[in-house]
Amino acid sequence: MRSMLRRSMGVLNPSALATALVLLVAWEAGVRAAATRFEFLPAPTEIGQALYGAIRSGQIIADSVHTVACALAGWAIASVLGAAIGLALAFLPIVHRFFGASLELLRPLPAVAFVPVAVLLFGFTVTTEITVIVFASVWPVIVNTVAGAKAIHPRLLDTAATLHLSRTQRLGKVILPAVLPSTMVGARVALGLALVVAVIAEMVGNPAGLGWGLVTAQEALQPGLMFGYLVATGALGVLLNACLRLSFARLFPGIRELQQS
Amino acid sequence: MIATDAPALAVVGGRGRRRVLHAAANAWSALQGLLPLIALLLLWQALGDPHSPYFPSPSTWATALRDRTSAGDLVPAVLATFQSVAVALVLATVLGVGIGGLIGASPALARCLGPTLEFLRTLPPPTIVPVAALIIGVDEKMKLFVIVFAALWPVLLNTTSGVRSLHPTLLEAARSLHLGVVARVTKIFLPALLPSILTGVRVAAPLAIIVSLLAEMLTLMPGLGALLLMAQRNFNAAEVFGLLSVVGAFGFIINAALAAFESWALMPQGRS
Amino acid sequence: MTTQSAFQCERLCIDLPGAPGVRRIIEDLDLEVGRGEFVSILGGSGTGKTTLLRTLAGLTPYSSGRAVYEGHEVRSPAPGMAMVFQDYGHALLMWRTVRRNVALGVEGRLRAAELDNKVQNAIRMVGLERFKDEYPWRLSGGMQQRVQIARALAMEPSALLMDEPFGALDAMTKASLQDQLLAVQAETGATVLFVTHDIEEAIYLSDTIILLKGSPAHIARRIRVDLPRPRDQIVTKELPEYLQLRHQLYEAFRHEIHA
Repeated sequence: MRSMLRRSMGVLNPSALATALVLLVAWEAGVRAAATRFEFLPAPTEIGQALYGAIRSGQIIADSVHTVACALAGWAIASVLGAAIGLALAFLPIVHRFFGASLELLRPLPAVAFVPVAVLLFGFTVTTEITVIVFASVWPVIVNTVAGAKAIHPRLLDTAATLHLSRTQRLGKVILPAVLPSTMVGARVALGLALVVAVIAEMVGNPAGLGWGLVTAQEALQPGLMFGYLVATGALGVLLNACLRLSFARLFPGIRELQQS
Repeated sequence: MIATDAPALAVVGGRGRRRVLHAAANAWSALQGLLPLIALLLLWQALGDPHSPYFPSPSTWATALRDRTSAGDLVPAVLATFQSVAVALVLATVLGVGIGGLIGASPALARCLGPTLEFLRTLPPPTIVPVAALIIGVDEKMKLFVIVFAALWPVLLNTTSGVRSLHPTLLEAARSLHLGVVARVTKIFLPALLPSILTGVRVAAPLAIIVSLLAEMLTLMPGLGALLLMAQRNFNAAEVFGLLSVVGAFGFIINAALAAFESWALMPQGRS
Repeated sequence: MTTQSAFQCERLCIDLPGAPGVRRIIEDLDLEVGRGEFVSILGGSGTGKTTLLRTLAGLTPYSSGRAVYEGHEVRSPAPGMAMVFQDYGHALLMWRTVRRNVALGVEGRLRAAELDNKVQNAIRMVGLERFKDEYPWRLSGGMQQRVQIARALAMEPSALLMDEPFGALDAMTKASLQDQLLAVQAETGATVLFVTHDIEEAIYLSDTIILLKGSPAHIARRIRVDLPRPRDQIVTKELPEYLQLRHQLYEAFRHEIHA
């Protein structure tokens, strides 16, 4: 909360506003005077009009709903899957020994390269989009869960022992809650990724949503609308992250890591 | 002499053997980790249908890749993608360190530019690709621009926070030694910032690869991304899987090379 | 074996893994702690005080000899024993409120009303009623340490093992917690094993002070503290017996420094 407040205060400081304004005016003037060599560069006012029009017509809203729905679905699957894989890697030596290196090898595989494979298997569908999202956003959850499990302080386990907790109690009351904050930090990173990858998958895999809208606007030579889509995508990312931050802080009032960031 | 040397030699021999054993143990544990992947591929090869339109067996991937190589497509595509990624990473590092350093050093500049940069950073780099294609046109410059735009942020942010966390004593030391501006930058700031900068570059590399592939897919400019998309459009599943492994190896090698470079460059600082 | 003693050690040896193989921390230690007795284990840093306490708590295994609690050899944390660690920041579950932290060791074994009663009582004994629904990370260090003590008390232990519990606190907080601990002990009659490196704290709290010395460590001295109870931060510390003990112990430590 506090950091969000500070950030909005930062946006509101006069020198920052002046800088942004000067840049915008210079852009507008440059385009109006045809001083740039980019014939398709729209003026800021043009972008604003196109964005407003697309919101009025409901086109960009429908596209946003599709993209956000896919991103959230993929993110939810990736979070659960990533937490499970991360816990297994951290606490089951056999899993670590036999799957660790294979996962390390799959991790640097760029998500975009995965799209053609998914398209081959599932066609130009929502399944393709969600599969690619899950593949891309599962990694931060896994990595953070494993790191969280490794960072459990030995004193916590001493405590569990001196309080005579059973194995299940130790797992349920001490270990899992201790790992949870790291998993959720990973999940927050994953949500940002999920949105971006959703847009990527829509551009080359599933013809729907913001990504497809962007490509269509480009092919129809509508630069104003295209920039509108760009701004909308960025804004959605910020909005989703803020929502997640607030709801995590609400849902888990006891977790310091989620309250301070 | 001989008597005193013998134990020393024995120790060296023991240590050498221990190191060999250690390396062998490492290799074995890495191999164990790869077993499921290897088993999957072998099973796939043994049980899979080589003519399957969806899951062609691994040997057909290799054939497809060989055909692409002899057709003269694969190697130039790998080189084209590598060149874009490498050049863009160098540009992004120079720009990121420059801008990030200035912002970190000057609170006034940070106040003026911070929010604007913050806004630009929220724009997902992949969505920049079609925009840049329309405005700049489909050429090498546009490809570099989008990759730099993606790779710039991690370097910039890491540099800024690195500058801010420099210890004041270091700055005072520089001043008390009467170093000139150039000497201050090259002898004090850059070495002190090196760990932050290199971390930024390592975060930036996978982003650069992703955006490069995406740009190639969307514009069909020469590169691995274009090859992949063409293979998919031709429903050549074997080639798609083959190229996917090439892309995986490409990403793996670039990441490993950067990690090795980082630990080599940081060795004198004892921070690797 | 006498029924009067809570803890008994005979020729106890403890080894810990160190850089070049194992290192002997404690050697041939004989110790007897009576029920309801307050015993401080005093020694410089690195003398193995904490190791000895962890062994008696069943957390660190011993190599030879015997360590017995209430007639049973200590191999794992025994029922009836509760431990308070120095680093409260790592020993509390930061995601649980004060009340749920205190309940951790007893929940699931009691009916709701009984559990609530026990937890409330433990919280009352350390004076944290006002903060029972707060999260530990919002509390000061002293209050966090009170939470840990309350958690141990909720188990109604017959022995309380404390590892430099007030070591990280400021002098004022330390004094008030010392008094609270004495009050709690008077109320519960628990045996207390208290590790500290603070000479005055050891005298103020204890019936007996055990002085650990050497490497591997052995008991250098065993000092009876016959100051009247209840004790008082001002009155007790001005008693001639108190001053004499203080003199004697500082003297003992001086010899160790010069040795």
